[in-house]
Amino acid sequence: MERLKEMKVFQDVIASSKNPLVQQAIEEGGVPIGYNCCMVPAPLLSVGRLFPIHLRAPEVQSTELADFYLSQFNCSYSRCILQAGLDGVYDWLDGVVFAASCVHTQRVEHNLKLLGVNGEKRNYLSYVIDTPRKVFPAGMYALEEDLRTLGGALSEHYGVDTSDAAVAVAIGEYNEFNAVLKSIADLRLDAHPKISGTEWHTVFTACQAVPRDLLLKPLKSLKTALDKRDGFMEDVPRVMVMGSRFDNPAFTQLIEDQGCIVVADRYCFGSLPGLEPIPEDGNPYANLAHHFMEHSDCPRMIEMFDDRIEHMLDWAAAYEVDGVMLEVMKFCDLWGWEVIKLDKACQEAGIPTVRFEREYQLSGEGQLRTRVQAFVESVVMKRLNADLSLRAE
Amino acid sequence: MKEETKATLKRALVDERTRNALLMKGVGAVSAYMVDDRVKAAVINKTVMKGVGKVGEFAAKASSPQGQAAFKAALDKNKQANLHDQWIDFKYWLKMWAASMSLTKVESGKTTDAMFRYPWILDELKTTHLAKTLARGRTGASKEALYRELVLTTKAAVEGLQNIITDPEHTVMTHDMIPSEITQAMGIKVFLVEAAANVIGLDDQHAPEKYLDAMYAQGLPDNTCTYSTQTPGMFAVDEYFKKASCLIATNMPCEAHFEGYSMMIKEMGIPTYWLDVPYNFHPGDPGAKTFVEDIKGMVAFLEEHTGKKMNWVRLKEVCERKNELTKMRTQLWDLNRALNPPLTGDALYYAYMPAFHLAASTQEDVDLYKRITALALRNYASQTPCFENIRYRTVMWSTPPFDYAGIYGWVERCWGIEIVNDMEEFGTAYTIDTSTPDTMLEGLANCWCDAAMARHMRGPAENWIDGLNTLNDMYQPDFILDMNHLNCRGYTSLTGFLNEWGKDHVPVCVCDYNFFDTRVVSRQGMRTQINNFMFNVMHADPLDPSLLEFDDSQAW
Repeated sequence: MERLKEMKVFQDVIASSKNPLVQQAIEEGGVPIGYNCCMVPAPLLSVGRLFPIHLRAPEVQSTELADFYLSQFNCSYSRCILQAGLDGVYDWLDGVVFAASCVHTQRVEHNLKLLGVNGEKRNYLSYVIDTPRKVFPAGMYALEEDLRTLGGALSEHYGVDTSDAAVAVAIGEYNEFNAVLKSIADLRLDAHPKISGTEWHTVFTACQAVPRDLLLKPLKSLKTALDKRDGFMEDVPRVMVMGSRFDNPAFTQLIEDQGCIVVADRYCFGSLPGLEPIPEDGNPYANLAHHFMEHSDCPRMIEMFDDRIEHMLDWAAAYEVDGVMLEVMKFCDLWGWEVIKLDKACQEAGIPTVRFEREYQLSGEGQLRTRVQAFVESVVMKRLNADLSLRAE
Repeated sequence: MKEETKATLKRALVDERTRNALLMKGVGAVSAYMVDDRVKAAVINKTVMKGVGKVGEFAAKASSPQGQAAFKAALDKNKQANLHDQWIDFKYWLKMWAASMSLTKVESGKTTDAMFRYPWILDELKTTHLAKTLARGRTGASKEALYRELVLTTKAAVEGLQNIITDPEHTVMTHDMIPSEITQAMGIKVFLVEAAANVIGLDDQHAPEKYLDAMYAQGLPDNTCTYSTQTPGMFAVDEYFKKASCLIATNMPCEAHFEGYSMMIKEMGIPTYWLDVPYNFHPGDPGAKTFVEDIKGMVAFLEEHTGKKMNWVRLKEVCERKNELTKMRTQLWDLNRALNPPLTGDALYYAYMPAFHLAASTQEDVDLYKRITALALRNYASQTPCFENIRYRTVMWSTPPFDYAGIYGWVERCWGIEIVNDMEEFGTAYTIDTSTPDTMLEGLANCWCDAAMARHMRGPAENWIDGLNTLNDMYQPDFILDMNHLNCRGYTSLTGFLNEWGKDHVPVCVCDYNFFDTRVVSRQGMRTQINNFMFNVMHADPLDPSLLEFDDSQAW
């Protein structure tokens, strides 16, 4: 497919945490708030001058200090984020909001606080949302209360309006932006997708790394360019990638370089799920609580094991995937267990799979390339054999 | 046994076809027994056979004056010279066997079948050996307390097994970290899902390996917590119960744990209720109220699936017993602040296991606590320490290694280190208000959220730090013994902080280990880490240098 000049802005913003658009927003008086998890309701961090930044660590190459404070047995995402905090990569943040989603990331917040990272800032807020692990009335009510407490803290620290009306506005803007994103994401459903997995991964990651309002225009331009572009015509396997946090498009590039196309992204900080509109009527805090809990396919949710399998199979059918790649970040217990069940379900459904362990930063490319290449070949062979059988019949 | 049968059985040991033929014929217990590789290994183990031969030789030698002197020396070494200790050893040896063998008391046919179907049950018969190992070198209060605690633990484990083996339709499987006061009050038979893993891991360091490997073979990363891996491993090799009326699971311990449960639940396909312990749970936090509602949901679920109703009068009795236990427990904590701590280490820890964990708050638990408190008070009054050669006081931070249950005795005898309290034992001290059903549920919610794991391993770091500071202030230890379970993400992720904390407070002895797998860190590996710390940081001399290094890699 032809290269699009409209992609450059997205490629630029994911290269570093403090990218040009973030700098521009700060200069204009914006207040950046870091967050760690898809279960943190980003619209709440978008009210008034606030803008949410998904914590990534593209700058971090090694994690010696974080290895000491966490341990070498914590996932490399959490170690990279802690290292970035200790290295001062995030000294421009005015606060962080974490979800109590998994123990690795919780402990990052604890260590950042214990070690006084950004603690010298007067109004620095560090908050952990008590996200339940199941959806039930008492839990939802408690979460709504917790979000209101967070709203109060945001208002107190940054002087922003976190009233129901202001949050409702933020939800509306969030939905509007996501609608544009979804129109691009859905291009992958086509038999000849107009956007590659790498490009989509880049776009989606970028949208979480900058103030969204600054990206709306480039996003619309990209959509226009994509609409004019010819679809991907090569007959290569379509795959879905599933697993732990995956916010580095270089991985997707490596996968696609082996002769396949990633059409579905069911991983932590992917778009399946993640682009569904949030209800705009009624109590906005309750809407946020319900939306971010009910649209999470994270293995941390204890009553939704079967639902997740069902969703995976549904997406596999909708995106017509030929195989599923199950990736687990080393030491991620949640996905370490989950992929065993998913793998079994895929096998029962006749969907080829490959499982691999990886680190947060791109490393071990040689091994990964070999695994993916072998998998792609096996999928191609399966398709050929199926074609031959059909012809024979 | 006829010679012909003997020969057939002998052949069956080495010939699979003969073995299968025997099984097909339904020859029964003996042949089925031999199918298990570990049993087979034990039967054909020449060392064992040699040991049997040595018994005769020993008996002959013991009758000579030299033999008698050697025998006395051996007893002296084990601090068993006084008659009372020997009587306690013998009495509780019998009681332990009685407790273990009571498994076959009810519907012996079913239990015998279960032993062959689930061979780990045979490993549980090693508990008498465990008791003797733990009691070695102990005297007086600690010896008696340990035996009593293990007898009670064994009884609780056996009762659970009897329930699931003989009456699965009316037995509820539960996680071992759920408010068991509820099931007691409802008069429900229970089986604790982790009981098997806990007991066999303590009994035999190598028993869990087969089950861990089964999960690794399915692709589970081998760095996953072994406590969470072992029971699903039993499912993976089809050696676990799959039938029960329903299941109560929880996110209480950690992520690896509940994910492992999800796998088992899928296998069993039985109705399940999930208890969700919140992140913030202290009284006043919204999460605390949520957990009360969650417990109510659990009660409704149990009523629906078991047909039993909640008996609030009985719950009041159970909660009052829990309050009584808490009072005695905190008294024991206080007594250990004395210069001569009267009841410490595993004698304290193994009381907590049945009373606050396995079959919480039964009358037997209260009786146990009354007796051990009396023993502790007697020691306190006479200023008798739990162990006579105390040189160092320490607090064990994190959980004790289940694959090296004897570590308490070893640190005492090798280095004179007394463990006056530990993270897991130092759990809840709430008093439950028993005036109304709501206050009781609120109290139970507080107690269980404040238990180890939920409080220290996965809640806010403040819980962990406050606990450590409190124990440090209470006991003024010479150092902290940090038992660092390598696969516990919640714990190890504060290791750096603990090291920093040590600079401002007391030294920290970091001892890496793996909860159920001595292939990762061997027992000698643990000892070596502690030895190095004692030599290099504490500049200590061992009490008994012969215990610095020895090979117990193949021991139970």
